[in-house]
Amino acid sequence: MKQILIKAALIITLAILLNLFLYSAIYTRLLPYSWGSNELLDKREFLRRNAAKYNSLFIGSSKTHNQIHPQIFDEKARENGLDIRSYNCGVGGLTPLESLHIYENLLLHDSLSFKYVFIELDWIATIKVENLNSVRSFYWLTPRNYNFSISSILNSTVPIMRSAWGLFHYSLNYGENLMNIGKVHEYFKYKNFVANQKFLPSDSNIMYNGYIPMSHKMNSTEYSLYSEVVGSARLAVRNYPDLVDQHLSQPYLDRLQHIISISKQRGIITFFIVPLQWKYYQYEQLIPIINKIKGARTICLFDIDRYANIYQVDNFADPNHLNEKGAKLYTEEIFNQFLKLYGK
Amino acid sequence: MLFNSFAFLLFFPIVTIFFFILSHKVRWLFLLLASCFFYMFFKPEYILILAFTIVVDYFAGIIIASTENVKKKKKFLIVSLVANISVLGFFKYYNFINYNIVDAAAYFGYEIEVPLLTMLLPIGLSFHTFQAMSYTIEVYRGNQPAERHFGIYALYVMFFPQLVAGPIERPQNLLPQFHEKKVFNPDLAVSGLKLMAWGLFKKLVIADRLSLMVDQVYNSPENYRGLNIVIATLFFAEQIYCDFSGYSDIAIGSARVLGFDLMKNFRNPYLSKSISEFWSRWHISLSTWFKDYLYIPLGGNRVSVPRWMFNLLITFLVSGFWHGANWTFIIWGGLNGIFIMGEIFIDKKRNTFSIPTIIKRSTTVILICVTWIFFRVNTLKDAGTVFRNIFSNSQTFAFDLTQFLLAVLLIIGLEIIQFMDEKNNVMSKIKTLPYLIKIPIYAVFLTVLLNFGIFNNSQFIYFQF
Repeated sequence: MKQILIKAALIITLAILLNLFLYSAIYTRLLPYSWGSNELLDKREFLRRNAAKYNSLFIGSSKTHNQIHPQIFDEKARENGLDIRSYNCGVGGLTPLESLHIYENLLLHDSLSFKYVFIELDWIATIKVENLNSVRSFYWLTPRNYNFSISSILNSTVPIMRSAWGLFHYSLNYGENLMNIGKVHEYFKYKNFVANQKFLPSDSNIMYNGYIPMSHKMNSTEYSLYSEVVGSARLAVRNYPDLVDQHLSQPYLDRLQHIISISKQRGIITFFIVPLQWKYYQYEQLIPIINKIKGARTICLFDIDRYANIYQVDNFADPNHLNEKGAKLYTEEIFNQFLKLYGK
Repeated sequence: MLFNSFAFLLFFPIVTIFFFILSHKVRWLFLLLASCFFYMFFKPEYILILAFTIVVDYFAGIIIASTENVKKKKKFLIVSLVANISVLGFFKYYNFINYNIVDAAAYFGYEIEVPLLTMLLPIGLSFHTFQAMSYTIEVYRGNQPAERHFGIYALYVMFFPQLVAGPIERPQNLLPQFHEKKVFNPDLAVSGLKLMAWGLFKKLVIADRLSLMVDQVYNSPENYRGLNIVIATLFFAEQIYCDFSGYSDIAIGSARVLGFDLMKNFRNPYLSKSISEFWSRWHISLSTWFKDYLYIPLGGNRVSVPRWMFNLLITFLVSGFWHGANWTFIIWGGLNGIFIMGEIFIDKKRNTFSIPTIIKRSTTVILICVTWIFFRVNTLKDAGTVFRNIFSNSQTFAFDLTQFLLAVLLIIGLEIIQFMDEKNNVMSKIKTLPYLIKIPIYAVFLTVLLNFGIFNNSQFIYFQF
């Protein structure tokens, strides 16, 4: 039995070493940093090919992708004498760490530059259930990003079960990335995608500015979930001043400061957008960050009573996303806050 | 729960550890609960269907064994068979029969409406009902004593490694094993794990890769012609083999780790020299089931030639119908029967000359591939399209060249290994190699499995049956 265990350990160790070699020597060269999502690959390629057309960028999850209308934003800017030509680089399910990974690489790898960048903030300990054990949940988990995600969770005070879940899944997904699970197939898929893609806007349903409106109407179950979101947002606003140090995730804060700093070096002004969240504990992590972050321009849009015109139930496509009408009001409000922060 | 899922990767070691930690007295209960959990992972409520047939067959078995009255024995055998076949018929064939009634009525100018079942087919239904039926038949024949322990009988039907896609076990082989006290055997466990890894390789690296090209053609056959259809058909032949034999390897391997011995389900079928040999190497547990419980009771080959041919054809038609409620499967079964009948006819005439083995093997593969077309097409209309287009002018190569070459390389590699395995057991050859060679071989195999596998939780083809 002992001999069998030694043999198994040797085989596994050798396989791990082989895979680590393949990971660092082969795949990091073969696959681009955005390989896990076709939509992201598409948007990134479009941005690279049309870099001169845009001077501002929105990046984040579906709350960016489906809620921020660059055309409206640009028109408002023009009315105020500002030259803003923005692109919505939001992608459904983009986690905050993924957003930061993409943004950093757009600057470092693709040498893109902007005047203004708007990054959606979200809490850390989350991977969308439908994305678990998929390339989408691990393609961006580089050693640095994994280290960051783990330390962010360990340094936060989210409920223990949620932390444990987050730690387990980030570790599992990181392992999948390092062990190159299914990477040959992913490489073929990527090659095929590149060979067949037409790049926006010719054949894509994504509008030239990257925005897609949501037209779905809420059903009765979704109405009750909507009430839950409203409840969490109200509680967060009420406790806003108290949510300071005790829930602060220092690694998250440090990473955001780093983002501000590398952006500043390239003459980019960074704005963070905080949308509505599902749960109160999400606010517990986000609000201390907002309160602490230095040199940031934060656009907070989670005060459901203050922005009652935006968050009317009729403006929602589902409990978590605004419809086209809501997106218009949401974008206008982002612009209004941007204008206030602009001179700072 | 799928064998190629992350859930199974957690489930299996946990079950193995607890199985050997627990006392022998409660192991049956633990395995039964684990099997229920495994099955309920798909759709929990369907366990009630299993429970129904288990209860009926358990009591039928006891009554059949405890009475000397032949009429009563027969009556309870019929009760058991009707219960099983009714469940199978209702869930699997209800819509098929109704569609055909509607079509037939429409043919004669009548428009009728028949309510259809909208629920999914309970997973593995054909497999566990056949396994359950083999129990009552064997008890009736006096080859197997009735199992008095309800839990162990339930475990016989529900044993998770072979619950959803076989091998379809016989009570004589499996039931006594649940009574035996299992002791953890490291060599057996290692051999089981190797078999599981090999099965996963066949499924994830070969079958799922081939399915990409097969689906491309067979999901819209009207867009493909000539060589592209030939390639897709050959690839499907290899895909279904790797998919199903891969599943069987994982099933047999996981049972072996727990100390159970399940019957072999495949023996390099594409090396067969005839269609009848193919059927003695392909899905052996089902072929022998049909042989024992349908073909031989019909009279087998110990009857007049016309009756023998009839028995063959009926057996293969039923086998086709067992696979799926679609005319395509019935034709597939019928074709296999016709080919075997043809072989018998040729064999009777051919006394003076012999055919080289390579010709025999190639002809068998070609004929089997023709039958696979009916197995794979989605509709009978698609089958017509495939046969029309396969002989029409060729078109440009439809597949990604690198994917295609990789697939060809994998198939050749697999067939070489199978061919070598036919003569000498490859696994035992590797076992005799020195550590310095053996350990890197296993590590490279593991790396290839991880890198080249397609991990999209795709279902095994035979799950639909």
